[in-house]
Amino acid sequence: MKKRINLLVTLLSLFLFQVAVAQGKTITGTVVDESGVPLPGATVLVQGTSNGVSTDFDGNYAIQAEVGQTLEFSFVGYTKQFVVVGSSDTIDVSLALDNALEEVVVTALGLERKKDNDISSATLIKSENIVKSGETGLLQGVAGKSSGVLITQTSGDPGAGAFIQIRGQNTVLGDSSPLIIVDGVPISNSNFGSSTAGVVQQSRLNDIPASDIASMTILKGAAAAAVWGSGAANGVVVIQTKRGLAGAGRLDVNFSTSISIDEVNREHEKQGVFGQGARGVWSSNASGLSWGDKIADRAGGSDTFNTSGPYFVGDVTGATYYPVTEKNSREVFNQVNRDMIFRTGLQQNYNLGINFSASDKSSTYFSYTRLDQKGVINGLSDYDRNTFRINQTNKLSDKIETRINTSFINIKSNRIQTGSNLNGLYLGYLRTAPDFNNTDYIGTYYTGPDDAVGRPNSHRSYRNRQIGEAAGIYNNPGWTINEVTNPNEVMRFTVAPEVNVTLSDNLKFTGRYGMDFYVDRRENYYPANSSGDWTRGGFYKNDYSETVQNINLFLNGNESFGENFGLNYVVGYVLEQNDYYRFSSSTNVFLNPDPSKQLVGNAVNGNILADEYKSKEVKNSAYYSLSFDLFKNLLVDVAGRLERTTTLTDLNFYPAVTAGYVAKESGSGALSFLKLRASYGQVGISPSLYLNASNFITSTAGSEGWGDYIDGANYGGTVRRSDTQGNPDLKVERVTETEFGFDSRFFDNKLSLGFTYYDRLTTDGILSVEVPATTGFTSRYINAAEISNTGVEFDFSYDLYKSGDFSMNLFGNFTAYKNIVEKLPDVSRVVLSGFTSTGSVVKEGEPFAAIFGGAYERNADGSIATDASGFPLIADEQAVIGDPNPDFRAGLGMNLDYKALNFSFLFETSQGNDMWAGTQGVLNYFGIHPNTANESVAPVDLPIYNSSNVIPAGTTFRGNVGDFGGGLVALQEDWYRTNGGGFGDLDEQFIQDASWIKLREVSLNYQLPNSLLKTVGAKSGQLGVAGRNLLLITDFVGVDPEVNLTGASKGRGLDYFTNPGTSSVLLNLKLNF
Amino acid sequence: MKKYIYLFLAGALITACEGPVEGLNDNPNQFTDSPISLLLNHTLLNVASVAEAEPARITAIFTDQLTGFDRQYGTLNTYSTNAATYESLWEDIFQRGITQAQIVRSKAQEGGNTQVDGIAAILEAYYFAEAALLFNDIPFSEVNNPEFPDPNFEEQESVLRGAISMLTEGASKAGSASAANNVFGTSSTWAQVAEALKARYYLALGEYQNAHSSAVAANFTSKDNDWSIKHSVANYGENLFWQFEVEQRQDYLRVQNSYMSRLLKEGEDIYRGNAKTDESSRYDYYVSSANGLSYNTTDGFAAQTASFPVISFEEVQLIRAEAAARLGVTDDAIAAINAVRASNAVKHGATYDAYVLADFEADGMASNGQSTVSMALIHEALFEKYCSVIGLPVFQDVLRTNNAIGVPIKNANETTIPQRFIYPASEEASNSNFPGFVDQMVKTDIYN
Repeated sequence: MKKRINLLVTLLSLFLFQVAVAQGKTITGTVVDESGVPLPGATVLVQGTSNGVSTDFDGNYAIQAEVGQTLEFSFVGYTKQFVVVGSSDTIDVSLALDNALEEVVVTALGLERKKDNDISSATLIKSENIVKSGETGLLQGVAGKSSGVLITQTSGDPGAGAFIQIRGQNTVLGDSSPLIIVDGVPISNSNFGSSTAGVVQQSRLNDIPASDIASMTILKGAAAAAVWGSGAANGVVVIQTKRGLAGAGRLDVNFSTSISIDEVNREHEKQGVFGQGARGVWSSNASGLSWGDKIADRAGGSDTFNTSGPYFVGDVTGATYYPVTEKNSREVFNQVNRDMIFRTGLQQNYNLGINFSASDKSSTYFSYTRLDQKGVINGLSDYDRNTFRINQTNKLSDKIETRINTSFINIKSNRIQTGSNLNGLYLGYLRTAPDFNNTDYIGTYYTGPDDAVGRPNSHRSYRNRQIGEAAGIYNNPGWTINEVTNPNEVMRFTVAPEVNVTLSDNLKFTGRYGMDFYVDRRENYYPANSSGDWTRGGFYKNDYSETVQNINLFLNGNESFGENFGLNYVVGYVLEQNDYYRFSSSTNVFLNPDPSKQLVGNAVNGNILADEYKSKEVKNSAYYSLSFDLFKNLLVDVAGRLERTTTLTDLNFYPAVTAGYVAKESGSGALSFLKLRASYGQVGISPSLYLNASNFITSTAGSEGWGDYIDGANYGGTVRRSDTQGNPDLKVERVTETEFGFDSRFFDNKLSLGFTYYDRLTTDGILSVEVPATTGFTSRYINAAEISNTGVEFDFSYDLYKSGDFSMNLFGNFTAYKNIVEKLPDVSRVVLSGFTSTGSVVKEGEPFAAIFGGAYERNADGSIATDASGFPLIADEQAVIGDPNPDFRAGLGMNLDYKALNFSFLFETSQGNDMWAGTQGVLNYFGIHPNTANESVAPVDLPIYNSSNVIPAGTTFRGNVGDFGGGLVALQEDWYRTNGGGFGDLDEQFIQDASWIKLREVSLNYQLPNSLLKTVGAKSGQLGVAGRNLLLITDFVGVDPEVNLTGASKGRGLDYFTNPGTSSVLLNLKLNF
Repeated sequence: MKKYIYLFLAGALITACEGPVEGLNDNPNQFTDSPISLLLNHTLLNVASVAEAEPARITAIFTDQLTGFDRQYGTLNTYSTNAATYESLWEDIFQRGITQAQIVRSKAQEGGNTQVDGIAAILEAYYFAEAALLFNDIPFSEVNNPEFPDPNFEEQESVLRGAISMLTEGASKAGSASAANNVFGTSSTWAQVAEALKARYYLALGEYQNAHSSAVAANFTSKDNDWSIKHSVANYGENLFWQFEVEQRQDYLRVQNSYMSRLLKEGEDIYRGNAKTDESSRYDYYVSSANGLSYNTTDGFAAQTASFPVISFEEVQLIRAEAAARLGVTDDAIAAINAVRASNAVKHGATYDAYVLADFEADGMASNGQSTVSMALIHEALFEKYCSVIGLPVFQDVLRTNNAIGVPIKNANETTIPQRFIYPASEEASNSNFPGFVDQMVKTDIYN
């Protein structure tokens, strides 16, 4: 409190000082909104000076000004108003709510431009709309808010990354994420280490807290991005962080906090009717299957045990476990096992933002944000992020202004193993037999009554004879979430100094430097007795660091040649450099299995390995961007970039031309505004590093696909020439786009509509083409692919009703695109992600990221070909069996304001996208999926798969009656354990429509009344409640269809034991002092 | 205005300068060449990918030495394969085997190192011959040659003959050098290994005289002559069958109820034990004593450090025995069989008394249900090899002899076991000279 008083004294003295030196008179007045409610904290500025004040709690202000000067009244979310000082000493103003007229977008160079003058298809998303979503991830907070932008979350794990795709995908091998420009400088948005196993990775863009952001502009088209050349093929996201506000002696303190409660939003169901075993007989060791006896038919009571031999004492409950000799118990543990792994997640978010200007020569924005998240998985799943930001602007003189934006980010998180992974959570949890209790996952194993010592930290799971005598074949999920640890720490530092020099009235020089440096330390620790390779323990460390630096120098000016010809130009030079380094170590087969210390040196020398990777990439370019303003209504932008990069040492040029015609700009009437636009532009993707030469690599032999191999390192060292033939003649992958559209407003600006059609084509796409292994290589890099991408985008906003205290706005967007791999010569397919049997691939003539796998053999009429028994035949060759791209995506939302209340919601939908239900397939195999627990009566003699036997008519059997078009067949254990299950060859049966509708967000906010605020000394405040993903409508079973096995990668549409998604409810409070 | 144009030109000039971007695309993380010794060592190591890894497991399932039990291996047990099944084997043979052998050879020839050239020739021949036996026609003379982006497929028999002459060439160059090295343990010389392999391929061609001559010339006199891949307790130095069962894919592959296990199990109708033979120890060598279902990873053929023979004393002697029997040299056939039995007695610590001629007569204990001595001897050699050698060589025997030993057909809809490996889809997709897919139930040319 004392500090606050000091601050007030300081402010007061500054104010007095100003009074003392200022000339003219004191103007006083009140600033209110249209309904007459005072606006506290509104800015009043004498135009052309840095003299400014803020209104007090009651909207009152007092400022020194001379007659003839103009006062500028502004308040966030309201239209600025200008009043010339006349004879009156009192000026009261009423500010109107902002509407589309004042919208700005930010160009690729970080310069603001009025939306009405912008002729690109850029979309600006305001900070408050991202913050309101309640998402901790910046990317996820954008979901559903703009056409043409597809955000896919990877899982509900804390800190999990998201995939951002602007329009369709453009490249097979190149980087697929958009360029991220923060305050004019590119930063890293790397995402590496995503695979079918391991943990879900973060997205570096999500390091930035939403509360630090003033706006996010998404440049979708190639023309708008061309000045970034080979970095901009996937679009550009331009972020402006908050700036200190001008005005001497100004102090704004914003504090906000939110608490969010998260739940798993969709779960797989498990059958609880049949026990572990096979062929209807209970067994504790039957390959983990649940094709055992009917639990209800058991004798009941407790099981019979063999107490003479080995046993296990659990650490969790202290219970003793003996091998079961007879299974009598009818207990089912599905719920117990479920409750063991899930909990209610909790997120706490605190943000403090301070705007401060000590004098009229400087302004400072300082913020601190802390996010503390505990995930929905009841173990080591959390994400803790601390972010500091200082943005400082100084006016050195009338002509020179400097700015320095810095941030420091620290993230600590723990993650849970997922996916196709013996140590993955879902793999062990979902496969657990219904009659096995996972609770005591860790304990001491004794070889018999005479064993006095026992073996502590033994791992008990349903597939290792159930008494922990050996490592589990799959981890007990308790082991996965509590014993296997995957900590990660990120330290990130960004600094971006900038100097602006006004050379003349119409010419400014800007020099910018940006550096983004981070270290990402990841560890995976598998204690001894973990499954798979780690029965004797494994410890893996990966330290990544990346430095993105750039120098950008440009001149920005304008010229006017008479009334009908204006020119705004930017010419500049930019040098970009990216340094990347990874150091990895692995420690296998621990000397001391005690998990209390995690030591790299805990193995014999041969089992401690180190590895590293380093790279450096430079781009050297000059660019220009000219905006012509002709005859008032015609706008023409011409831009280009001349560039050399590390992998393209020859010059490449990326041109862009955009034309816009403002056909109507009266701002009122049935058609209030109409702007037509068309553009043509080229951007590129540089070849990845080091594709120019063939390498000689250390080698192994064996069947690595199955996991068994011998390492040449154990045999005196082995080296071979790599499979891939280098190509020193690679060219840039060029993306050429033509775009048409319009922006319009109707009915006195009540309805605004934007529409864009685009047609883009990637040519010379780089591919690693399959060459016959008989040529001595299996692949070679060439420029050969062509990927087309056409789509329509539509955004609208309609003020349905606006009167007095009440307003109602409806908004929405619609996106449909076709993303086709037009040419893919000499390659059957390229697997983007997934498995060799089933994956997301690019294949000529098919949609990008199509799902590929074993297909039904089809008759000429398209029906499924069946064998003599009526079971389906499988096509000899695998084929495209699904398309994960939606037919369309759309968002629809509403905003209601009534007095101090604001209510809004946003629905988002994706329709027509397919997904491979890999989990379900495998649960069929194990007899866990509820479908496999159905009991059916054979209506006729039913053939059994792969057998000459039949199920006689009238017999009740476990399974279903199926018909593939060749007569009725029995779908029972023989079918599900072979080609009716996920390990069979018929993947097509598990392709499902994964269309979904989500209530993406819903929020209710209340502006706290002044009377209450005064008591805490706040200028304004807001209390709100919001929901995130509260409603999900989909036919896809078991998991949120937005999750993806390989996370934020190019491959899509795969579900295989992926950790679940979440829904959240959050409460938030914001105070402004 | 002019000044800005100058400025832009200045920028363009800076850009035009290559300085900042030059020379950075030289991979700092990988070697772009290698000493010959490491390349040769790889070419040796890679033999495991063909002889000991997945191909050995698949062929052992086909011939019912072992049983595909769990997951994908359950499907494999009914011969369900497709154009993806052998993709990695094809690469292992052509890219990681033959190509690397040829790189070694050209480096050896450049450096005048005849011995290394010879060793690499033997390895190259091995890869070619095994590929031809499994896949039928394969590219041969156009492999790993930039002039042939789409190598032509050559006839199976001519590839085998080419491989045999390469073995002869290799033996003459590598000669008396020991075939023991970092990867292989053996008391044999390279010339002996080359002869032993020639015996295997002559046998496949049905040239029994040549097979016999080579088997004799190989002069494998004891298990010490086995050309075996060494294994250790080092992580990823262990026996691959051990890794597969213990570390990677428990229960995918079992010995439970397989034809081989039943032949060796006392009490089975088809038990091969008799007054002179006790197979119980050999049964234990293959079958886990812990559960009677898994294969023996403790002290048997798939123990953690058990070496894996690529060509063994037993195989060479049994080639000699079969060839001799077919050539009517009964004594030599019996001697070769007894040599194996004597070795078995030591290896398994059990009774394998020497057979005499009478044992192979129609009512003899080793007649194998045959009415003539020569047929009894042929069957004895085939059965004995079936029970001593795991994987590829036995698969070829079953194909060559039309399943003379009566391996059960594990798919009710089929009348034979698979006769070949299907070409990989990758070759079909990328090689314009690809001859087309052939069903796996169609015999390869040399057995047709």
